[in-house]
Amino acid sequence: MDLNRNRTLTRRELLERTGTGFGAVAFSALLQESGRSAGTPGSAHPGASMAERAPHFAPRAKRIIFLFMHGGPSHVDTFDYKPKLERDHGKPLPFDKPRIEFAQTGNLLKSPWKFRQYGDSGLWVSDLFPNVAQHIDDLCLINSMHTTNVIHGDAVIQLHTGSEVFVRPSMGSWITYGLGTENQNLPGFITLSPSYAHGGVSNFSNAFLPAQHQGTPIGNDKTAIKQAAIRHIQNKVSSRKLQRAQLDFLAESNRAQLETTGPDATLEARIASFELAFRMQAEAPEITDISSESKATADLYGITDPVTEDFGRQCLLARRFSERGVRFVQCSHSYRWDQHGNLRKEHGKNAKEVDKPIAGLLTDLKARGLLNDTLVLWGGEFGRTPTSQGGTDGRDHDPYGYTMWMAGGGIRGGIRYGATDDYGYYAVENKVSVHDLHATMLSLLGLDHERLTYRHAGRDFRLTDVHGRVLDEIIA
Amino acid sequence: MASPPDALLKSPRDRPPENPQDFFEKKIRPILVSHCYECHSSTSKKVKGKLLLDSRAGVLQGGASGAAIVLGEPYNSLLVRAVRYTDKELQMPPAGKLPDAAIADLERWIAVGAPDPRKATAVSPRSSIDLDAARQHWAFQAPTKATLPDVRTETWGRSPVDRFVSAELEENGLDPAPAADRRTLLRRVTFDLTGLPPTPREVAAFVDDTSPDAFSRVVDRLLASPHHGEKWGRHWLDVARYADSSGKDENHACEFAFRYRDYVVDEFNRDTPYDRFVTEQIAGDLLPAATDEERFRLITATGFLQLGPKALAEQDKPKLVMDIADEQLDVISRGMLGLTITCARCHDHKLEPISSRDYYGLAGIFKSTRTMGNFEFVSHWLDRPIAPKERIAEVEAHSKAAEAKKKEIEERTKAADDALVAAWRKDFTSYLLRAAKNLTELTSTEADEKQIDAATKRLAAEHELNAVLLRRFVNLLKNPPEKEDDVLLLRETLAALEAPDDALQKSTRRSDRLLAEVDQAWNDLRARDPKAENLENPAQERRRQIAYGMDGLFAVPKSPREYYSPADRRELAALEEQRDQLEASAPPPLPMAMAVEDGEVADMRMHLRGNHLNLGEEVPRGFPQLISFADAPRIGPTQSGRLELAQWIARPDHPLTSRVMVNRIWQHHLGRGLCRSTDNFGLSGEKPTNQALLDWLAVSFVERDWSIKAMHRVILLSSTYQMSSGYNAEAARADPDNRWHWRFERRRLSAEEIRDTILSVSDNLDPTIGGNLFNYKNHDPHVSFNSRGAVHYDFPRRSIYLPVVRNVLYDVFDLFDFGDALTLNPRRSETTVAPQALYMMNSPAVIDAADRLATALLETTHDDEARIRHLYEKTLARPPTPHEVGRALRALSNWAKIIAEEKESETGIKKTWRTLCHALLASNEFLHLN
Repeated sequence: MDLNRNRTLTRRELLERTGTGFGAVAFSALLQESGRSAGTPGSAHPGASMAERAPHFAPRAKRIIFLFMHGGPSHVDTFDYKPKLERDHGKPLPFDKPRIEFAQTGNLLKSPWKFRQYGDSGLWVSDLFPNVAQHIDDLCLINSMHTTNVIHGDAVIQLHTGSEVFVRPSMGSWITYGLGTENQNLPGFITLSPSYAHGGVSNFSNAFLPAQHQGTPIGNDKTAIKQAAIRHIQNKVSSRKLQRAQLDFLAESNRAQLETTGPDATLEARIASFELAFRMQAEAPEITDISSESKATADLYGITDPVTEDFGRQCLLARRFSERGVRFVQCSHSYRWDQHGNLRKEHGKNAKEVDKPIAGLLTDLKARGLLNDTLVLWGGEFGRTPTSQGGTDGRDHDPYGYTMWMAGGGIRGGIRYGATDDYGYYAVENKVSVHDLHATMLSLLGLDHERLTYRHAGRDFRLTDVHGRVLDEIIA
Repeated sequence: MASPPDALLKSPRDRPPENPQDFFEKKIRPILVSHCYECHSSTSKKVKGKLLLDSRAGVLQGGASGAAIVLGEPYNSLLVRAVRYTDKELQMPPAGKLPDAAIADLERWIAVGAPDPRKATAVSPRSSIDLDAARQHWAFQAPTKATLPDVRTETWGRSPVDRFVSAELEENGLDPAPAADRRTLLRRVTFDLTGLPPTPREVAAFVDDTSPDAFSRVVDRLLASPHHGEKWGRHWLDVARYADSSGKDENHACEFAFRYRDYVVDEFNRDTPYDRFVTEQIAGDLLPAATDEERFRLITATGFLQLGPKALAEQDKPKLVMDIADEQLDVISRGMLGLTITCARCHDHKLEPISSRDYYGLAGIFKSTRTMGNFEFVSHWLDRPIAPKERIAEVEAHSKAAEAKKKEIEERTKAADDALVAAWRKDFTSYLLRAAKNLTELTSTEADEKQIDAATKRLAAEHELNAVLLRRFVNLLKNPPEKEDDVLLLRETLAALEAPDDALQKSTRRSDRLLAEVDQAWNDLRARDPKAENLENPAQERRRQIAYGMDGLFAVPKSPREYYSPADRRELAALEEQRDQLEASAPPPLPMAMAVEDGEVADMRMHLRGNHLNLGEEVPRGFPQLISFADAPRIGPTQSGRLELAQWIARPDHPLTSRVMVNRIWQHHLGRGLCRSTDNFGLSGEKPTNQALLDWLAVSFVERDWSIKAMHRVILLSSTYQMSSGYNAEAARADPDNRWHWRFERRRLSAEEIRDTILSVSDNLDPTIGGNLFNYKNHDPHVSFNSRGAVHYDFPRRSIYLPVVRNVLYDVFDLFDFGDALTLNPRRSETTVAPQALYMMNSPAVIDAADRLATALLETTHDDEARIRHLYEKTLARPPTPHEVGRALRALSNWAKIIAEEKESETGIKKTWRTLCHALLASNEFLHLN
């Protein structure tokens, strides 16, 4: 159905089309972008609606939770075990460093943390993540990630949008564009505690995709998630009853105006948008209020411990939103993983803040049967060098080889994919680019990354541009 | 085939083979066939790098990177560099390096003149762009003024614009909508020209004015309003991707961006001819100026080139330079020419007749332009002073003196620090000994850190030692290193605590010797390599860290001054006083503007696949071949070419420049451009809906000396503009997108209009023009980290003056389709999403405005009906219908009851009226223009 043509249909045609009366018609109008979008006029934009849409092929996952470790967690101190790094501690790197480094680094620096084997798979995880390690048989460690940028901003934007050079829609936007949302009373793409640094809104922006695919931020990295809410979700001066009466007057006035203008999908959509906003006002706080959860659940996510409370709440909210049909939820542990110095203390602290909540999320998703069709993605914008920076307690940015992991949603658990060199500097085996990662995520959702396109400025755009390879090897 | 001259035959290896043909067949052809032809022959599925190696001609012409070989010179031949894997960026064959013997054969082959018996002659085509065919495209041909079409209608508008529109309507069997009523028309034109609502008095005056030129006089009044520049300047700022922060990774504050914004507002108020406006923004700094003021204005104009987002922390600085040039080219080509040129950065444009050569000809102009102030770790863009020369000289002299003084202090401090460390180092054994001897009493089991501190201090005073240093030794011994890490033999010292004195002394002396070895090794290393950071021997390096590391024994304390020698202290104090005096006498800072200037002038080499490490042939600076003029100015060897580029764009006979601008003007008045892809007039753009009209407007624009205000009059005085936005089922079916203009296109107010109008109707708008409201200093990197507190937006000034912070856009901008200011915004989208409704329902800004409105209404009169009339006139520019009055009265009494039940402290009547005012501000009629 070509929704862009809605706008000038007669009122009768609008009513006939759905047979469910004014409200439903206006609602469908609301879910489209106004016909005056910058896109090619008359061309069908399937993503102009938020209604649920069929994927290209049978999906393995229905939704994604992305746990973003902003700043660049060190892969050689977490999920990429390098015995030779330990052996050759203090020696110079036996091969060339890259042409572009963020800063100068010194000799090899072994991990201050002990690595142990876990699970049936016997994969190695450091003592930074003892709780997540309990789930190792559900995890696929992608040890051969690589990206093109040594600076945070560009690498963060590339991870989220596929391009650091051009303004492109973020992955969450592409996904709601491709699949719509399962719950019309909530946004399809929610980002919890996002940072406004390093690209800021670009990282959850719809760019040229229709506006309803924009990520809805809840809070920011300077506010505890406990205090955060969707912007303007509460009226501070009117009771619900008074506001309802006011909206009735508004709707009545707007409809009267519509009689004089004739049918206009934009005006009707705006009428409906107030009703949706009113419902959202009721439903969103209900989800963000976690008081209905049991003490056991709160403990599981670490919410009862001040150290893990904030990220624990984020993870729990991610589960609650996912459960109610939100397609893409991002939790951000914002810009704390950047240890050029003070690695021991700060990486230790960071891992402590997230390890238990993430393990809790995985346990909970599994117990509720949600892990089967929920893809969990963990990682930062790059890793850290195996060589030391500024003494012996810091590491520089390493975009040339690093680790991200996935779990659930059709992923083969208990495996590692790809590898870095003996010391962990460069990805060397089965290298995985950000585009490959995106292609694989889309594929798990039943979307062909080469077919998920949007026509803009005279050509078709993709999340993966002209790149991307689906990592079939890691799909169960 | 000529043999190379004997001089080139340096070794027997280079001697020509007995039988050149045999040599090729036996040695060379097999290499080419099995390692190269897959990608570099006429039969390749896809020829890579435009290089064919299956003919001699192909080898000699080479591919995108240039000739593959230089006859007789293997070491200057790209082919040899590629197979030797000399450069990281070009390693062939990619699957793995050839055996050494094969490489030697290839070198020999080239050394002897590359004898080649192959008969094939295929070479790779240089470019597949057919310029002659492309030039037939409508937008690449100069516009002409068609004779006005004959139209049947005599009742409707007769202006040239209307004649062209009528012709299309008639051809499509459509009728124009009737004229809009006067209130609607006045509200429409007032917003279109000033971005503000008409006052009830202006509405009344126009409704009562029945003279035939009443509307024309309204248009003149609005064009003369200083608020006109604010509205139309903002349209241009969308093209110029204006923002007050640098965006991308670092997102520094641009304190001086506002000067460019104020310049743009002023240009639209002055109605500077558009060709001049274009020239000033690309090359204002290169134009003559009669006065200082004029010169400053022209420098400020080049802010257009400076405002783009930049990855300031990019460590690949050559890439940063190219990214900036690319961004500048993008805003010029899409903004002024309606062309998407920048696709040609990596390859010939796939959709447009723009070659990569064209691109690098243009890019050379911007590479020859200085946009950056420096390329430090985090680079800075260029801000140029806009002040008289004497003022600049004064400030420079002063900052030089201050800088020198600062450096002197730094050096003096460094010397004092070094002296301190050296003195401490000398006393190593005595401190270690003292700490060891008293360790047990100092760190008895009950002692906490504070007690140890106090005890250490006492002990230090007693023995005339430095307490801080002694405390560090105590710490070191208190937390002894693990056995394998005991590089300073401290455990030996600890073991000797109970032993006789001389054992202890011996041990400390041994540690001292180990440290002396480190000192020696470090000095040697630094003499060899002043940048070295680590000793190679790991044990020595750990020793060095214990002694001199950041938290090491001899680390200089945070405020070391008190430990300096009296002489050092005195000297530093004197220097600091001089510095303070200098600072106190500093001249006021110079006013600055974000701008560019000419830099080091040079042509560029092409970047293959956009990679600056993979360079192709050099291209002279110039303009795309597609649009060439016989008398185009040549770019001289000492000029960047910016002025010539500006002149090339601003030519009256340029087929794109005038069309693109009149199309933008049309779009802002009529909703959509006549060419709907406003920044793409190329082959991949849309066909204009009414080319004859577009061309007529373009030619008229140039004829009227590029006056934008003249074009406003041409368009606004047409019946086409003055039509109603009313619905017509038949027309809607035939032309749902209103391509033929059968009615006026209803539009939502923009983000700025919504906010400004809410302020305006609540009598709270400060109409001051220009100036800076940004509460961040230049280059402050904390705009998006927000650690310095929020950016302030709480000013009752027009929205155009609020800071535009990339990545963290102001709420209202973000919600109502302002766009992200990271790139040119050809047309605001108009979305309808629930968060906008939440804003209108719940934001304090809207509630506050409603409150002011209610207060004013209650003060004006006691008559409820009069209040309602007043409210409608103020917010909707029309009186309410009797029906609406009834509805409002009913709502008021209903709400009064609810409020009374809730028994809140707020006075009922105020809250009731505020609720009504609020509803009007959120209404569709308020938010849209009919």
